[in-house]
Amino acid sequence: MTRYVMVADLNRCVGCQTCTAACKHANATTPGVQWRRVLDIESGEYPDVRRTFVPVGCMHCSEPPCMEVCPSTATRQRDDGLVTIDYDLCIGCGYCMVACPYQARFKVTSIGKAYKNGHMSHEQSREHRERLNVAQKCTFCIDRIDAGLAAGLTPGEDVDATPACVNSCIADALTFGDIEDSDSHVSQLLREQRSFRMHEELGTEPGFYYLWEGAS
Amino acid sequence: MIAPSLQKYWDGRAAGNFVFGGAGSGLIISTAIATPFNTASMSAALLIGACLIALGLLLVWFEIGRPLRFINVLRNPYTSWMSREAWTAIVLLPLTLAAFALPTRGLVIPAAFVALLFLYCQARILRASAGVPTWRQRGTMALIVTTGLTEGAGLYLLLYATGLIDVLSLPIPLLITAVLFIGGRYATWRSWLHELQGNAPTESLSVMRTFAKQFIVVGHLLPIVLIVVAWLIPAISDIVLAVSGVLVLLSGWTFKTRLILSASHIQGFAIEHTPARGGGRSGPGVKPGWS
Repeated sequence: MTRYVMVADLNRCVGCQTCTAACKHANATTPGVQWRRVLDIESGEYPDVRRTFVPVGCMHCSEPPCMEVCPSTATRQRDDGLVTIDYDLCIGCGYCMVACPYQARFKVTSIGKAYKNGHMSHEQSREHRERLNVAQKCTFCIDRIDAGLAAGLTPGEDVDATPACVNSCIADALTFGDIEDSDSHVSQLLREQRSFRMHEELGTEPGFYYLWEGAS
Repeated sequence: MIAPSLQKYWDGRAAGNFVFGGAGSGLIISTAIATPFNTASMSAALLIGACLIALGLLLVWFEIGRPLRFINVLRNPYTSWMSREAWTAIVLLPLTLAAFALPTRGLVIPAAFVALLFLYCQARILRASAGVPTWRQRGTMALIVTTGLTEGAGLYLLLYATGLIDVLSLPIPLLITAVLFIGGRYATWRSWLHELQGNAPTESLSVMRTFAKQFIVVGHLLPIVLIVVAWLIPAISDIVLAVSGVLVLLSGWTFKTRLILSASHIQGFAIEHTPARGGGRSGPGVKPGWS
């Protein structure tokens, strides 16, 4: 079995948002929609204050509440753990959006544009009308994974089979791979370092791990 | 936004489904309870109940992004309570209309059971919304069900008092049932509010705490007192029951509207540990908006 997960090393992330930009470039999401984003969390009280950058997005949960509630079966889960949306089935009821504890889903009602005076040429050439009025979210760059696998590549190791956000990370904070493969980079990281998953108490079994203490 | 913020995915149209669907199904159930005592009286109430449910579903239809695909809502009765609600409505509406056309207990009683199922589906829709802490509590189910039942009883009292239901005498068992429903709503409300402590964002808690006093006094104490007065002084029972019914109904609707629109802060983000970062040490976790 294969189970693709992502690992974010909080010690390394510098909050540059390059992954956010890479995701927008790769997936042509409309303005206001960020499938991958990085939170900037300030905590503590002076003088003991901290600033933490936390990449978030769809966690591709093993027990996705969005899939359970979806009335149209538009949201599904593949055998490799990726949670998908069939834009042609989705009715845009928003139930998955209130069911997701990670604010990972978006619904837009019009093709957005970056500037007031009309769409730019690249916006026109890559507009996704199928995403209008339905739920949308991070796919873990599923098209890159599938194309890469078809070409005999290994997601997480070969750039052409790896999500754009991971490829773009300047600090090597994001890692992608198969957690069921004990030799994969993600398995190695999770074996050697301490990690947590967000909102684990909700039982969603998210496929997104955060490293927080550095290598032991 | 890192701390929990109000959900903007469902607006007043979605709230309308819970408001009208709850009252409509509750009214059908109250009608069935009153039926053994007033068999000729059920028609108008059943029609109104069915119309309210249909109105709620129509509002949802206006809310969905792709209304022409609405039929897809039926595709997942295996796990989705929204699908189950839709399937239940498909059975409930014709059954209720049949009971309206042929008012017999043989149709009203099954319609009431399906209405109860519809109400339960609505409660489970909220319970399954894992992203909104105030909705996903275990107690939400009982609270939504008792709220719907109470609204239905209140609406029945209002219809009776205003003469829209042709009833020969005041159905005392229904009054007792109404008091029990109101008491049940109060009990489930208290239990739910208690369950929210520490399990919901502070903003949501604040909204519900602010609402609590008026909800208890206007929605529970006052209606029960008025029902007792109506029972003791039959001469003024019509007006008193009408006021009681309105209070019960509107308090329930206000509660649900607040629950869907004002006390519906989403989970927000949290981390269990802050990172070590270079030569530093890791620190405690962060969960903004929860304490």
